[in-house]
Amino acid sequence: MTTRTLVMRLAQVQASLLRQQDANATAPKADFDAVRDATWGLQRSAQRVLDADLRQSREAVAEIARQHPEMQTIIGYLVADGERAARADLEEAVGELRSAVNSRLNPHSPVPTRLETQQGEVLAQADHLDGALRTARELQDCGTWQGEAAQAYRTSADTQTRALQEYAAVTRASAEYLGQAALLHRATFFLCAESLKAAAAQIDVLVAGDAGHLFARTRRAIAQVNRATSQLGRDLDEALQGTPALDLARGLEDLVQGAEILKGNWPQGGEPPK
Amino acid sequence: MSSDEELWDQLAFRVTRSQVGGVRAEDDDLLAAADLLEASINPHRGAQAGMAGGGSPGVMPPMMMGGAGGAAGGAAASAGGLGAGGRLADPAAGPLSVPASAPAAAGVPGDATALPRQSGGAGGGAGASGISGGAEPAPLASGGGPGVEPAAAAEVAPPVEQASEVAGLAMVAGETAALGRAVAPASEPLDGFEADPTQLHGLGERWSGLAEQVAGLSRHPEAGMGLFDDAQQAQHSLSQQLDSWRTGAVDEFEAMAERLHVTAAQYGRVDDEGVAELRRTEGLDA
Repeated sequence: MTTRTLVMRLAQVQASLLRQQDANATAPKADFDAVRDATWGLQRSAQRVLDADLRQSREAVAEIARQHPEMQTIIGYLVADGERAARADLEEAVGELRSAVNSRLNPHSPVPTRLETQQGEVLAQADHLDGALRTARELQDCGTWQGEAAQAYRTSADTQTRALQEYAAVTRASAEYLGQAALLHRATFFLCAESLKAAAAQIDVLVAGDAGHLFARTRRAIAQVNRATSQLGRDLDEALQGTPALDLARGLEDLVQGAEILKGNWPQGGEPPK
Repeated sequence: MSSDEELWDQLAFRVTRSQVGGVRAEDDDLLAAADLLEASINPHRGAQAGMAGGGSPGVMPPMMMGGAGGAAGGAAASAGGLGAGGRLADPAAGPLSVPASAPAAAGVPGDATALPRQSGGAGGGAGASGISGGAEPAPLASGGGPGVEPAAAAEVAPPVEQASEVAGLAMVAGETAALGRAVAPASEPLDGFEADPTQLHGLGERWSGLAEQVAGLSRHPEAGMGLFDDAQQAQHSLSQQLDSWRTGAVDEFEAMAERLHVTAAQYGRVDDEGVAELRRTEGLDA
């Protein structure tokens, strides 16, 4: 199973799980904008919960004031204090989430696009080398030249051609790995975005939920945001330490170490590689 | 130094030692020469053959023999080949005649290939206007002089001697034979070399073009692996390795081109020297 397949399976399996909660989960090819949008979406969901709690608390204060005017002032202070605490806690939780997103993902936002551009450049180089390889193969034929020197030339030309073939193959493979690295980034962004969207969906449910206690829904929303932040860290760690990422690093190392003709320096003439 | 490098280095030595340019040279047959030469100057064989001319047992001047063969070569090619072009069927015809089964070198007219084994020594070759002047009579009878049927010559030639031919170089046959070199069994292919300096220069030009083609590649991008730090070092190493290979390939392809140009020049120089030597020798004989 190739790294690409693993990545796609990882992304799709996660996506299918997430789609059970959010039918709008879309293609796994995402970028950082998807994470940013999901973060904003989660923040808006939490804000809606807070707004709902604020409305509830103000209605409660109004009702208490109507029934117990003498309590209006103190109730007003208590509710205001509860509002400030809930708002502050929610802002803190959302702030931590945004901080995690900004610190761990935002710096890498241009990476997948850049990697894909570089993949295109390297593929063009590989195509160029394939053309050079065709020329080198033609040069293996030295016509009617005969003798030991001609044989030495043929040996050299053969070695150079095989080296060029390996050079072209490694170049093309390196382009593939650049593409896989880009895909891994996109898959990681996708996983994070979908995780945040799932958290936002759970928070949205709170708006219509139990409102028996003042700011209880906001407290649950804050807990959901904190869980989303933790989950984001776990998703990232799993992505960076998972099999696809390890395969990426290992594959890049193997590209050089696994070379048969080009071990180290370019072979000189027809000599065996050093 | 690897064996291939040695071969490259030996090339100039071989070319110089072979004293031939352009077409092909014998250069590894020194050990085989003595035996066959001795057999070829057997004074009785010519008599046994009963050929006209009596099969002189004496040692003939090398270039005379070369001239005899060359006459045949010129006759066959009708182009005035160089003197030593004839391939003699019978070693008794003279140890100093050498066959030339390959095309003549560039600049050296006359193709001495495919001469009948019995044609050696056929004097007065038509069109033998080459350096060696093929009008000289064949000094040895067994070669089949004028009026001798080739078939008859073949019949009288001992099988064991038919199996032995004097192999050598068309262009410097006289010298080669005089040194007692270049003798090989007729059943074996000539172990020489064949080169066209123009072709080698052309190959060199194409390797230069290939070097330019690879040099036209941009540097491998130093791709940042973003989230995947573990892959960053591997990617960096790979990128450096690919760049190293690119410069190494360019350098080596240019070196290939240079070696080819040098080799072609060596072939060409020795070719010129061989022709000049023949002209000089022929001038002395005349």
